[in-house]
Amino acid sequence: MNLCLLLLCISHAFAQDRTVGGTVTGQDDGQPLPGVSVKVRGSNTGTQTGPDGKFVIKVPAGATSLEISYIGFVPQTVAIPSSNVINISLAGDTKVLSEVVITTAQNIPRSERSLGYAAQALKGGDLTLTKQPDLNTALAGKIAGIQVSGTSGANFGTGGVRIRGTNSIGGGADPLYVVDGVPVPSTSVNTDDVQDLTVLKGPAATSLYGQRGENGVIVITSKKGTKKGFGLEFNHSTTLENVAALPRYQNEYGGGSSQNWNKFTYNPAVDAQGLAGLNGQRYYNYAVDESWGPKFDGQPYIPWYAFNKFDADYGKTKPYVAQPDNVRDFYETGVEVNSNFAFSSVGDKHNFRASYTNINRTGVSPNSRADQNRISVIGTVKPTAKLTFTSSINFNSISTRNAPTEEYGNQTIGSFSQWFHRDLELDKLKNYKNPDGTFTTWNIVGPRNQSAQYWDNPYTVAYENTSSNNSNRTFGFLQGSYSILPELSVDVIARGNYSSNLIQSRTASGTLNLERYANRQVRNRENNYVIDIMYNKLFAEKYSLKAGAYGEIRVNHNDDLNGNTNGGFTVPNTYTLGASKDRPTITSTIYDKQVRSVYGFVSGGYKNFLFLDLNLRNDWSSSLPANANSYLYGGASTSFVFTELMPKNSILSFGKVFTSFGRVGSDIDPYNINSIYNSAGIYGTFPALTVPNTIYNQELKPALSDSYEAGIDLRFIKDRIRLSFNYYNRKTTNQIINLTLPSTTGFSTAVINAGEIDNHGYEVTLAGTPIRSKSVVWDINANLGINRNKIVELYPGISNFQLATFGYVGTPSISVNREVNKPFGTLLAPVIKKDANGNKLIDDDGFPLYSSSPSEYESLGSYIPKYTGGVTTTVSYKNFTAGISVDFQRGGKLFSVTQGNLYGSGLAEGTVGNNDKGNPIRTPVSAGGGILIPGVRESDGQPNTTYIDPQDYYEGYIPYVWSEYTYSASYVKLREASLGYTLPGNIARKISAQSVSFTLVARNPWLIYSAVHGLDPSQSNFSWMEGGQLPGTRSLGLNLRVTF
Amino acid sequence: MKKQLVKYLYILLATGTVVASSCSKVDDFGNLNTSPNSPAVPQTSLLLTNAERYLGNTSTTASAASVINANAQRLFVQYMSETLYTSESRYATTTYDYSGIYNNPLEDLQTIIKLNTDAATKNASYVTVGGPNESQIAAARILKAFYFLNITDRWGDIPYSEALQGLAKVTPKFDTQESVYTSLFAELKAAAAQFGTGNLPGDFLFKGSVTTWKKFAATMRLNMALRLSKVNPTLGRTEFNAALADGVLTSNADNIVYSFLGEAANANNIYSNYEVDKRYDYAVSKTVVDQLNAIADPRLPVYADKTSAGTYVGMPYGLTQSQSSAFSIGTVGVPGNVSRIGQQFRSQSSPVTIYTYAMVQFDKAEAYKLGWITGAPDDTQAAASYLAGINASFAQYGVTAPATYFTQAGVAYNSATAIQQIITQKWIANYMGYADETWDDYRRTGYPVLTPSPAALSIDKLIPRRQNYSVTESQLNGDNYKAVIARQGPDVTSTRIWWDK
Repeated sequence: MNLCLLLLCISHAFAQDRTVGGTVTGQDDGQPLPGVSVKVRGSNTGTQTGPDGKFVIKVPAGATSLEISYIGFVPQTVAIPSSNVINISLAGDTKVLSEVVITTAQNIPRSERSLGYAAQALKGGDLTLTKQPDLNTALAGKIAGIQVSGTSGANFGTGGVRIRGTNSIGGGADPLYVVDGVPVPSTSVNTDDVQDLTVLKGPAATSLYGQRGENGVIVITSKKGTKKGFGLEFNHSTTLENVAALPRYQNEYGGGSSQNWNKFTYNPAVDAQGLAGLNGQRYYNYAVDESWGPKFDGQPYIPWYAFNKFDADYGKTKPYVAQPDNVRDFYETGVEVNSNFAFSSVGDKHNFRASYTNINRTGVSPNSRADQNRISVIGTVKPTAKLTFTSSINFNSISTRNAPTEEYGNQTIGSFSQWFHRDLELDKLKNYKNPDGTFTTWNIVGPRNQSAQYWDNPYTVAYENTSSNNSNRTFGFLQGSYSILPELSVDVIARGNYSSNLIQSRTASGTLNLERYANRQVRNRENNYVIDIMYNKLFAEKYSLKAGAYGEIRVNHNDDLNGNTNGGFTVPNTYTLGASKDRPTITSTIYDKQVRSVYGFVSGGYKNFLFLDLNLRNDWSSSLPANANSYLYGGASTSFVFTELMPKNSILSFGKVFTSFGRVGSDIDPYNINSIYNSAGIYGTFPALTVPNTIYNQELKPALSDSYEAGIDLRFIKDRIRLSFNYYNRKTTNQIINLTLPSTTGFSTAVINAGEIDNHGYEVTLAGTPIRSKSVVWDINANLGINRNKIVELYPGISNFQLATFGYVGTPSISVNREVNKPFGTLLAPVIKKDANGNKLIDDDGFPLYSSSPSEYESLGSYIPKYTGGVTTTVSYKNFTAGISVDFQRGGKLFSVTQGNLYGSGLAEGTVGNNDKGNPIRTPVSAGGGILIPGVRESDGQPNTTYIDPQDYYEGYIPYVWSEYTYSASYVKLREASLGYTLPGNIARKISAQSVSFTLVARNPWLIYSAVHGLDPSQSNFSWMEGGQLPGTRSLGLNLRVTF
Repeated sequence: MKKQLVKYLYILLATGTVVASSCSKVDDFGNLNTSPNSPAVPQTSLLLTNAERYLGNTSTTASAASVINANAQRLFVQYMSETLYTSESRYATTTYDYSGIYNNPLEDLQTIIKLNTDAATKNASYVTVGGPNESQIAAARILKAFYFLNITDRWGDIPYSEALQGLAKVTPKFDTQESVYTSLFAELKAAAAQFGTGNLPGDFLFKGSVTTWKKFAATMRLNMALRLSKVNPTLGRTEFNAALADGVLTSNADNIVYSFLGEAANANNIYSNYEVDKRYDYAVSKTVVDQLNAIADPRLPVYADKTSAGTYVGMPYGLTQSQSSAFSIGTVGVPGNVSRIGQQFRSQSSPVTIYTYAMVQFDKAEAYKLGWITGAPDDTQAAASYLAGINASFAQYGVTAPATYFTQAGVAYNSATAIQQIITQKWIANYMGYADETWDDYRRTGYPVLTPSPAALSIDKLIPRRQNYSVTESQLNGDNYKAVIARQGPDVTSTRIWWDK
């Protein structure tokens, strides 16, 4: 049947006289324009350009010219040359803002007006505004409904992105990033090579990507050659980075856990003579890693290094004073040198572009650096008018050395803001290694014992306990396209993505912890083969039809080899697995998975104002049970540009309503079906095996998620004001989750199909161009996203999913929960008890009462923000351009382990100061010091009048009452600011350049508002908590961009 | 033109054929989803090894529970004092998590029992490699009982009858401790009678010795029975005599001991704390040193190291951090001003005793005194067992004492203070062993006399009577959790469990 239709079409086509072909591009950026109407003047014959901006049209004998028209561009009439090849460059119609073309699923370009779902696009330039090295961070605040959880620049990390909140009960995952059709991790995206980027949010938009699109898809199109002939581009920036936010430390009391001094008594029998001068001098307990010690008085004391015979100040006392900047001074100025060089060649039969990026970056943490080399080559050749080959190869090499880790146990930041002495001199710590090879530390056991108690010297950690991560990735594709007919083409595509990672770390011999070496090698391979047939035709100038059918096979293979030494080394300082004293731990895991798919879409339009899209996909996944491994899903969407039916007016220039329904199916990682047993180490010669804590599931079904979406786009006063609003509702059934079980079942999790999870929200974008004159253009764009989740049904008998718990052994813990029919992501924690009027209940000793058992824990609210959003604005005046980007989050709870320890160990500014009697709070209570916890006595209801010692309170009493250290995660942050200058064209041309621009860029310049002192909630290392978080950084740099 | 058309048709046909031929098997992935990384069936002997190895578990993560060498219990009975950071010895830490015990050894043992019982698997080679079916089941039941006993004595009422059933029972109810005890007595008796003949290749603990397994089971019952001295002496007495009749430990050679090994993965946890983590969190407590000094006990040099001053000094128990600042334990190479735990307890391979012959003698001494064995309180027999207990402990540590040791006040058996003396000597003998037994004795009898931390941070400022359930129970098994605290009392450390009267 199809074949017959095809034959008919083909025979119809042969009846024409002459074939004319060409490409239509936009004048501004040289990019191909798809969907452009091409009509033979004075006849009814017409066609549209394809995805690559190309068209082929049969022209009747006698016709002389073509009419080219496209919404948002000035129409043109061109004569048909004898060569039969026409390349047309359309100028944007300044009266109407150019119609945005959006790259949708499977790289199909679509005019924005035809989309029945929300999709937001950015140009490459929006991402490189301030040369953020991380793609995700560059997205912050620019797209409605996406939440970026950043990371500190100190560890060169990459932020996380959640599109439309957390769809998944397990905490959600990053979206799928697709570069020219190849799925890659976000770190493999080079922002310098991005032509445009589209965020596809809901299932109707993403279902053509299958299960991997369930968390949204970010579709990235690489830059291609833009200018006919040879093009050259050079782009360089140098950026300096500094630590911005640090907690507020106190500077009144030094190290130790007691304000009483110890006295050193020189004992000639055991002490070296060099210490004789210290006899009778005072010192504090160096072994204690906190700052509840004596008050600074400027009088002599024995610092820790006075006992080190190698130190210049051996045997000498020093004045006992605070070192207010000792943490800040540890961090250095990081330097990032980022250079990008690209050249391109564009001709009638080819388009070639190659780009090389080199980033050398030293971090703020001493001895840390990250280097990147990226090469990408993309080229198209067109041997005949109907045949096109495109290929792209990208190579990334990213090497990171000694990136500091976060969290409690980290030996630098874990110490600085949690366990440290406020009197430590950084200069003295810099001598971390003695001439005899031993290491120094501030946290020594005692005067006669220089061993480290809990902490190494931070410089030892930076220079000796090193780590490295070398990752190489090659990805790309080969595509052959053949136009069987002007409206019918076939593509064959092979895509590959190969990566290898080598991760090493060492704990140096002779440092605090046992010497250790770890080596992990991870290799991933993905091959992907696609065949598709595309059809694209305009009928009678009214009806457009676009359709595609695809067959795809995806093959994934991962292997992971992970080893570490045990029990130290046979020979010290031998960093190899072979040196392991005990049997080294070696694990190797292999994952194999295949997904086979067929899918397709049909998209129809009527008179360019009414559109209907349908798509359908079936996947077969190897990781589901054999009897349930096939699943069918798809979507339908429609859009209606109602202003086309209205009389032209000066108020409402454009109006569109759209709605869609989509379903996306998903599977799970391999090996979650059949039960297995895990190796559990060895006891002497007895190997051990254990039943895993997870129940695997042979009855598993694919998960299905249904989504409805509706929205409206309005533009007023010649597009000067643009408003879009949409609502979505997503219902996920049978989501595959690792259900948390009470361990008394013998297991802690079970792989199950969860009942039902609902998710709905709103996205609003308001943009405008308040000023558009010849010399000044001011653009502003604001967006807001609201997302709400609810679990309707989980599993019979289970009403709560515990996402995570945190607590020290034996201490009250805080947990994050997702309870059926309750707010998603509730934090449950011990609280200070209150009476009916909200007063804290205090015991007769002056201490507040708190929940003593889990049955008394209370909800502190959800960690999910109420809303997130951002504002970006750019102003250009003549040759100057300035831009800023602000993002914010309102609501959501965050608990801070750092704050708990900052108070517990007496480092926080809040642990000093005067009480209401005017006495220092650290003065003994008997001498008028202490703090008074406001509240009423539980025994008699009278106001509390008993002062208590702050150390007893902060260190002993409430360090585990996590509610006291839970804050609102609301923040407002100026994420990016830039000021650029472009040389006037005549000057640029003197150096034969097309354009030359300088830009001053600032990243993270200002945390405008945060409720957590000294910590940046937008960079918390977990969505719901922060612990031992690295300090936020800010950077300032200069960017030079030249194109020839 | 025609030619070209034919060519297109061929291409389409060829493509169609390829698609169609792969379509016929599109849902068949062969063995692709079978994990190459882990075995699909377990050798049951290896599961037994894992279940035994968990006894010496020293993980400090919150989700894993220590069993025979738990720091908390050793602190409660003041064998050790914390050196710099003292919150656990001040009872600020209240919530402990038994998840690891259920998840790991109990589930492994349950699986051994299941595989050896199920007709479909009991004759499979991966099951029979673990020894005779009956013996595997017996050993698994006994070890399971030991873990359940540990859990119920720490938390009180616990999930037992509905536990370990996976998705078949996602919210197991809590059974009363009384019913758990009844079940465990029966379980231990039945299991001991079930052994067949043949080795248990995975059993590193008892090397497959059926005799030792039986003595272990009977000794466990002996201690359980004594635990009922206040709440149900009649049952306690019956069970005590039944256990004795079945054969308990009869010499130090019988001692039930968990041996650590000279390798990082199986190291003694005090060794790890001192020499791997270099934290030196625990010193010998002043309570122990003062008690042993008072009676010139020859075990002191074994139990404690000398300080830099060449003496034995105990670290005062449960000080505030400000107060503890004056003390330093030093390091292994350089002693401080309070004593480290003795070498015999802190080498990489130092064993931990679970049940000892000395303990059995003290059990018998108490039972004689209670009149459980001879029908009426029998001071003569009690004194003899008491003495035998002390001597067994001396022999265990290779020390001797002058005769005056046994005749001095406080050591010499005194009918009026017999229970206090017996339990106090039992406490000394069990130093750094399975401290739960000692804590159980303290809760049941009030001995040894211990002064709670002077800076206690718990609500009642007293030594805990139990441990709190973990937050996972209240949040994932909420209805049953509410029911158990309504029955047993608030989920706090001052609530007394069933046998603690």
